[in-house]
Amino acid sequence: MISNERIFERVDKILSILDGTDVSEIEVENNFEKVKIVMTPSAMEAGDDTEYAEPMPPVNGEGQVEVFSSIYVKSPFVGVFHRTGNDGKPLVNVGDVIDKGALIGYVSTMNIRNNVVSEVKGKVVSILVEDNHGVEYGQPILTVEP
Amino acid sequence: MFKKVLIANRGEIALRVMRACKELGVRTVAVHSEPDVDSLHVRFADEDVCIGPGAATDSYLSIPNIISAAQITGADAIHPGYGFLAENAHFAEVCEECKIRFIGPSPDAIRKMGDKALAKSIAKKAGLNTIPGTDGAVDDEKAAREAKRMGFPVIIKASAGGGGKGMRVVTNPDELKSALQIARLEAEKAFKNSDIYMEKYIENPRHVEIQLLADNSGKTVHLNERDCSIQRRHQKLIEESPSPAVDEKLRAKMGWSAKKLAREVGYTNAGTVEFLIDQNGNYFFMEMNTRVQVEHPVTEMCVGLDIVKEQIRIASGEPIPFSERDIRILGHAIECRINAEDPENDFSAFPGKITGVNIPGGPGIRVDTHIYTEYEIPSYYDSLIAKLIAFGRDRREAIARMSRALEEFVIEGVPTTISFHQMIMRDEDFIEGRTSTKFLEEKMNAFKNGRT
Repeated sequence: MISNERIFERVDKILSILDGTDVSEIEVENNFEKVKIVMTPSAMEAGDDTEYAEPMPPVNGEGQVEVFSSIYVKSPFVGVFHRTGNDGKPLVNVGDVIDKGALIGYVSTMNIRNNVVSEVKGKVVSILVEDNHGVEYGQPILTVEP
Repeated sequence: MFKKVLIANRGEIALRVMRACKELGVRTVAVHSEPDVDSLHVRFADEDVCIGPGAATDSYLSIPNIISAAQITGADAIHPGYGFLAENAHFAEVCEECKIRFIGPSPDAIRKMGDKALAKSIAKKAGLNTIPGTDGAVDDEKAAREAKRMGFPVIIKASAGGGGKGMRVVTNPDELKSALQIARLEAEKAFKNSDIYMEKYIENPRHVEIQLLADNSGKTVHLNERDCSIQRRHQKLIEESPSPAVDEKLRAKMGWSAKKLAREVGYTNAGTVEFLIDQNGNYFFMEMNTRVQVEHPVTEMCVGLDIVKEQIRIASGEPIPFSERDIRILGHAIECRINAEDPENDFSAFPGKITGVNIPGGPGIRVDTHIYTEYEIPSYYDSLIAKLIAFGRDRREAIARMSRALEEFVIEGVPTTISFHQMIMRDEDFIEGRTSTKFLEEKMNAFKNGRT
């Protein structure tokens, strides 16, 4: 999981790479996180070297750069994904706010039920695997917006 | 016949098994680690499942992940290839329990032949000549006593081992204690079992092995021998069939011995019985490999059979469709293992990106490989990147074809053993068939001494 501070560090790095180019939108993704940066026209016009070198202001401020960041919760196992708990109800739904360490489902591997927990705190944006479907190692199960 | 086979391996052997499946009309499931996602075995499979990160212990050696992959894809059989879980009796057992057919021998046969000391005692019981040695694992004290009885040189081997790991030749009593220590450490690291045993060391032997096939009805046939004497630190580099040192009479005797051992353990599927032949033509049982061998194409070319297809057919319950009398030696086949290793630099492994490839072809040439331009050789796995097999009507033609195919074989971006093989193909002793397991060591020494 990544802290806000680290997100900004990375955004800063990405911006310095973009500096001087006319790229208006970029999406960067790795195993754990996905960052999308959209340069609004004012940002692009107003942009000069010194501004980009500064750490970026938080999202939704007066800032001219919007940062969307979502994180995948991935399956650490190979097996069958189960979305529901013992009561037969889904453990998480889209829109739920979950804590770090929250149980989001199970993957059964050779009849052993393994817990899948979220590595981040945030809002569930989408559920990518249907109940009782097979998942491979590292397959994204949820997207969470921290 | 199976409907869908999961191939629990990677690299060239995963592709090789996949080819056999496709020709049999069987659907295929590839499994792969994260760094292998762009591999050809993933690309050409009908389905693929990522089974873990790069480290083999968490992916290609993970029994739960592989079994789960078979379950979620509905595979009814697993082919283990060679290495990884191919000779893991527990894995074969788990497959059985999960109602997935393991394409290989029974867990019991794997277990018996996998324990090298036990295998030797079974071979002895079956009437095979074995190399004098300790019965079972030894401690330092017993090792010293036994070495004195057998006489030096002796060789120390890992009970659970293979592939040269944990092996040490000791020529005098002073070296024994430290050699035992190192061998135990290596064995523990490689096999999680530090048990070692000791044998009389036979000087300048040839390594000759018999390829077997056995079906569920007990029919057992041998497909002649392979000579794998060209080795470096007990790792085979060049294999050929037939052996320049084996005549028809010796072939029949060795084949008979190999089949006797197979019957003793109720062996089914493909297997290989390895022997050492001394300078007087006596042969001694070394070990049995309960899987398809890296060098199986040599036999395939030489007798015109598809060993992997036979494995799959046998595992699905079909009988062997030919008899041993039908087996003819059609010519001579040689295999060179092309490794991403630097022969100029003590054969150190060289992971990296392949920037250019030309695969040789033409009459009598077969290349089993998983590489392509821009392929990144991961550092997690072994360095074998291609097997070049040349077939000719006789040994001379096979060598000539191998030489020109090596010339055509271009791999850019990483050092390979191609230049090394070219040197061997030009060597007078090799051309005359004068080889032993000491061949390379002697040649390398001569080369070094000649250079300095």
